[in-house]
Amino acid sequence: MKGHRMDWTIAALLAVAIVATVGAAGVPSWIRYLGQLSTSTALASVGVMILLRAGLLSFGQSLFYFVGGYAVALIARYGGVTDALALVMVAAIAAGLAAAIIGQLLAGYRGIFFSMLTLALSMVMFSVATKVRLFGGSDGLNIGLMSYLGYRPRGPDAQWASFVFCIWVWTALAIMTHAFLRSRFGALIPAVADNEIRIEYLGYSVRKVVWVAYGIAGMLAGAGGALAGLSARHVDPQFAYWTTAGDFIFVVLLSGQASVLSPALGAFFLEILRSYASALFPDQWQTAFGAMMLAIVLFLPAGLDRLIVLIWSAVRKIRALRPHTLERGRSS
Amino acid sequence: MTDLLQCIGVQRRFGDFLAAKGIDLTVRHGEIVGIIGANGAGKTTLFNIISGYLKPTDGRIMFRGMDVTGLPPRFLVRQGIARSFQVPQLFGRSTARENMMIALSLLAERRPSILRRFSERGLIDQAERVLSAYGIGEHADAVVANIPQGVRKLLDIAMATCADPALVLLDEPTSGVSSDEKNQFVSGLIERFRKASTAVIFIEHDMDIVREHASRVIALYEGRIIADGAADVIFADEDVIRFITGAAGGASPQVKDRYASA
Repeated sequence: MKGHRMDWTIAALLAVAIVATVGAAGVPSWIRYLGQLSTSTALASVGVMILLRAGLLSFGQSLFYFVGGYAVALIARYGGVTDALALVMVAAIAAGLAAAIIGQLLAGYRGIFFSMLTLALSMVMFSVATKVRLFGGSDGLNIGLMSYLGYRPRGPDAQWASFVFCIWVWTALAIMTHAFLRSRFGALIPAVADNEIRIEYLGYSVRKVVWVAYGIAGMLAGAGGALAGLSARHVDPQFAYWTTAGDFIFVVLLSGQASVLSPALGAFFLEILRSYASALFPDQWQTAFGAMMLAIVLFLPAGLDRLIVLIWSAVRKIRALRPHTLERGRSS
Repeated sequence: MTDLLQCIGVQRRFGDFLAAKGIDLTVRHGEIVGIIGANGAGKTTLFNIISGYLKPTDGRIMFRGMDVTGLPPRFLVRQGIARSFQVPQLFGRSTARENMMIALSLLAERRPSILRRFSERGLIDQAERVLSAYGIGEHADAVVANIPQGVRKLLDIAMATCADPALVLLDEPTSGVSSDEKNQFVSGLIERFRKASTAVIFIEHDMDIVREHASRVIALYEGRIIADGAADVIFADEDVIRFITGAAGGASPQVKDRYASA
C-alpha cells in the first residue's frame, strides 16, 4: 500500500550514525566530544526548526533543555537510576509534558508576543534554578557514570559509549521527527505560517497544530538537554539561560530548514566554530560568531543546507544533460 | 424539500455600526441563490456569520435543523458548509497540487489518516484528478503565489468544496476573472454544483451573471434584506433599482444624468 521509495533523509541519518559509530575509535576524543555536544544542540535546534516552519520563533527552548537536563540529574541523584536510555526517555517525556502545558497557554500567540513569552518563561526558570537548593543553586548538579542497557563502561570506554549512545539517540529521534514532518499533519506546520484561515476552513484547528508542534519541539529540546547533561556529566542553570536558546536559533539560521539533518550540520559547525574561535581569539570569539552570522545572512540567507540542495540539483541536472552533450561532442 | 439553512433575526454589531440588522433567510436544498448589494451592504459579513467566522450579536443560524449559532468554521465545514473567499485563501509557498492535497487530507479523508505520509501516491493522484476536473491541472506544479488570479480563484473553490458540501458560499467568484471569461467561469461552477444538487449562495456584482445563473436573488442594503425572490422580480423591484442596480453598474439613466449635470 505504501510507496517503497528510498527515503534519502533516513538513509543519510543512518549512514551518519553508522560511520560515526564505526569511526568513533579512530577519531581524536576532542572531535568526538564536539560531535557528542552537537547531537544535543541538534535535537533542540530541530525543535526550533519545526516551530520556525510554522512561523513561530521560540526564544525559550532552553527551558525544555533545562527540564531535560535536570530531569536526568535529579532522577539519577535521588532515584538512583543509572540507565542512560531510561533517563533520556523520562527527560524527553517530562519536557514534552511541560511543553504541552505551556503550549496550551502559548498556542494563541503569534509573532513577537510568542517569542517574548517563551523568552520570559525560560528566564523565570533560570532565576528559579539559581535559587533552589534542590537544583544545586547556581553551581548545578553533577551526574554520575551511566550504564547502557546493563553495560557499565569505565575509563576511556565510558566516553566512547556515551558518544555512541548520543549519536543513536539523535538518529532515532531525528528519524521519528522526519516521519512526523513528512506526514499529513507535518504538512500543516508550514501551512500555519502561510494561511491560518484556510486551515480553519478546512476543518482543522490551527491551535492544535501549534500546540502539537510546540510539544514536540519541547520534547526534542528535553532529549537534547538530557544528552547534554549526560555528556558533560553536569547540569547548571545556564541550560535555561536565553543564550542557550539563542544558540539553537543561531544553529537553524546557520543551517537552514531543509531537513532534520540541517540542524545537525549547523550544530556541528557551531561547536567547531566555538572551539576554534575561543582558542584563536579568547576575548573576541563572539565577534567571530557575529561575523559568521553576518556572512550567512548576506550571502546564504536560506542557510548552509541551501548549498547542499544546490549541489544536489546541479548533479542531477548534469546527469540528465550528459548523454545529450556526449552526442553533440561526437557529431562535431 | 426541507430547509437547509435558516437565518433567524441575525444581527451583527461592530461598535456602533450594525453590519447585519435582523436578517431572516431560508435556503432549501439545491437552491442557487445570488446575493447582490453595494459595497458595505453586509454581504461578506453575512457569509462570515453563516460560515461561523463571526458570531452573530443576536439571532440564530440553523443548518439541517440543527442550531449551529456560534460554532467555528472548522465544525461547520465538517457539517457541510463550504466557503470560498473573495481574495483566495491559499498556502502561498506551496504548489497548487500540495494545496489540494492538504485540502483533501483534511476534508475528504477520514481523521486518523492525518498521520499517514503526505506525499502518498493515492493523495497525489486524487489531488490531480480534482485539479484536472476544474481545468487547472497544468498549474499543479506551480507555486500558488505565482499563478494567475483566475486559477487561484478556482483552486480556492476546489479546495473549499472537495468534500461534497451541502451548501457552498461563493464570495465574489468572478472578482479578478477577466470580463469575457466571467460567464463561462460561473457556468462551469454552477453546473458542477447543480449536478451534485449542492445549494449555492454566491455574492456577485455583475448583474447579468446573477440574472443568468441564480434561481433566486437576495438584495442586501445597509445590513438588511430589501428584496428576496425570483431574479426577474427582484431586478424590477423599485428599491433594488434605486439602491443597488441603479447605482452599481453606472449604466442606469439616472446615474448618467447625475454625472452629466455635475
